Amino acid sequence: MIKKDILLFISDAKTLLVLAVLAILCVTGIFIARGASSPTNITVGVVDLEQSGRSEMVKTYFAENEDFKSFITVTEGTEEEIRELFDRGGLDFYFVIPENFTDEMIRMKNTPLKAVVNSTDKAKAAIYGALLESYSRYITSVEVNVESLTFSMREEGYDPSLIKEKNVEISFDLVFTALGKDGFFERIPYDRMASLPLTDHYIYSVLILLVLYAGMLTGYAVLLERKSGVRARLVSCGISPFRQIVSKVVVYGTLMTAAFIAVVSVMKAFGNIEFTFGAGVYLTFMIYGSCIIFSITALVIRSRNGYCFFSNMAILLMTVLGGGIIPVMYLPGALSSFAQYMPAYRFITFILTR
Amino acid sequence: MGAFLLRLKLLLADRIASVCYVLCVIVMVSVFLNMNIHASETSRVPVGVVCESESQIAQRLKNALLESDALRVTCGTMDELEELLMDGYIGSIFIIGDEYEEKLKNGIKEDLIKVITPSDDTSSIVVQDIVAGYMMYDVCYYRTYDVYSSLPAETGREDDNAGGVDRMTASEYYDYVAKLAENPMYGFEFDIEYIDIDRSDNKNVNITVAMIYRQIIAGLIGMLLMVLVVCGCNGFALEKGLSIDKRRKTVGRSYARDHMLEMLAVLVYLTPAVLLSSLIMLGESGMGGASFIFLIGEAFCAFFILLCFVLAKITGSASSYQLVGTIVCLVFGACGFISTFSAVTGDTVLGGTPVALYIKGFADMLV
Repeated sequence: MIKKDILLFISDAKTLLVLAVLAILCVTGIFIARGASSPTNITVGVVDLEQSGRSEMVKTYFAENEDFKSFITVTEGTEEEIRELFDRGGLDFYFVIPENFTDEMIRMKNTPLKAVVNSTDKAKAAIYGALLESYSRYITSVEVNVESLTFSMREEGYDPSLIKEKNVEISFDLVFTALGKDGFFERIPYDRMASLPLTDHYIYSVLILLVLYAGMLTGYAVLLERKSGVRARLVSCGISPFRQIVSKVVVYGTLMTAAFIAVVSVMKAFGNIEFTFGAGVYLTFMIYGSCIIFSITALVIRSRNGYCFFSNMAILLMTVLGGGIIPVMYLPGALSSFAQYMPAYRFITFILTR
Repeated sequence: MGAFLLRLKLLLADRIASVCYVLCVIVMVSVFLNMNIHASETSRVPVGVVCESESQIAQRLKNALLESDALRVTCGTMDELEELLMDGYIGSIFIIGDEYEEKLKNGIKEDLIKVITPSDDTSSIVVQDIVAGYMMYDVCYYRTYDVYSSLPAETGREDDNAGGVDRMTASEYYDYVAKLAENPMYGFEFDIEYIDIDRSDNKNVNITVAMIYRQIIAGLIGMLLMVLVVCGCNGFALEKGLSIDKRRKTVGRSYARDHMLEMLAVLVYLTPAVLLSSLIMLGESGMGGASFIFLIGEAFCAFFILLCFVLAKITGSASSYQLVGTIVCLVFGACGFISTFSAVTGDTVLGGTPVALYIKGFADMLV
């Protein structure tokens, strides 16, 4: 039986060719995904209509801050120049600092700081919007506290020169406190768990998707034998249906595992993907498990079209619920409770746990 | 019309396939609908908070984080949250320690809160920025109070009464600042204007983080439609394998016209699924938007039916067709998602691929 199934598998040149193409696509996809994931600079424009010492101070801070420079490129210019650059798609967003912005702020006149965001890409625009909202909270905190000190000193009758001196002192202090906000946190890496970049997350998800499709292919082979009457003929020769399915699972499972190990080895060697021996064993069990489940499905669903509809949808559903497309933490509560039963979730959790 | 009706009858006559089709579409659409209903909540970043301090300031920070629009906070003990972190349900844990208030009062602005993240994680820096926004008020308050309390007792003015000023206590000063903060004139906000430089009519639209989540749902709907098309066109591959095409030629049927009608029949067969999927975001897109989404869904399916028809004729066997169809779904699906995520992290790539275009068309209707 096993010899027959091996011969059947390797004699189907078209399927083998398609599998080879799939393997090449997998490896190529990884390199494309790796290229796509490298972040590019955010381009920001600044129109400074104020041109005061304070606005200069903030601009100089950002211009000289190495961390900031590594992911943001700031371009300064007149409103016309910046708008022209924005319209050509050269900027992600730009600010207009109005005339007398700081003075009016001190006088409790909150002149809004105009921010124009390029919304051609909705996802990007949403991120920038959320970021600006968070920064507005910083500015409000600084502003309220600086003004509180000034007002209280005024009410208590302090000398205007002392009020001004303290205002400048606290303004500088709070602005730089806000800019140095990263220091508020003491980061402690959790050694029992690794982080997973988004690209790697999708690479592992695709791997599990392919494992499931390997199972579907096994089930399809079982279904075809049944439809063409081969199964009935083998039964008449004394080979039980159980033996037939075991043979199919062993042959397809073993050959698919070999193919997966080859692809994963290339990915590990050239794509810098972390893949341990334990993960390989885990993947092998998943391949055999998937072959068994889909072979049973093929016994239950007798229509070829029905099997295709059901299996494809089951795979898509398992991938979604297992956090293969949207990480589990971002799934609604009702859906995320199913995650622990899904292969994608199990595999990714296994990879991350140390 | 004969070819159209025949294909439609063939598709509907396969009762098992039709039942699977209906069940699968209902289940998938329900899942996507659930995801869309909770999009605003689930698009918030999930974090855990351990509040070890009973002080008013620590509790206030905890409550502010719980009410945050950007974060989905789970409070609990370290053990509970560690388990959630290991299971992937939260991305980081913020620990507000016992000494939080004390540090603030002493003017310390470093290491106020511990953040536990998976090793090598960099994404939580964005979350830190959000949390810092909620801490900023108290940090600034204590630094300012420090300056206030160190002011000279004498005001220094010539008309000053001897004996100095009547200084506010810490709690009085806190109430004083809080009263000022309530003044609407102090709520600084950016005047954000969104401009789509490709579409001059698309100005000042409402864009939220939930939009990213909905774009992913749109990508999933695109994948669902692709998979349905691949399954719906299975008959073409089966007939090619059984040489029915050749037999048709011998009876002189018009090859191109018949196939066009058959493809139209597959499109009609899949139309209920397209219609249901276009209604998933009816609340966000409105009736006009849903109609447009339905139309782009139909166009998307028509394109894939044509593609699958060609694939079925090239592959010639049902099993090869299924494999190739799967590859096409995976490749185009992956391109769509890569396009969406690449736009978030840098320059958009693969934006011209079908699923990416479908997502873009979908997203345009949601703003």
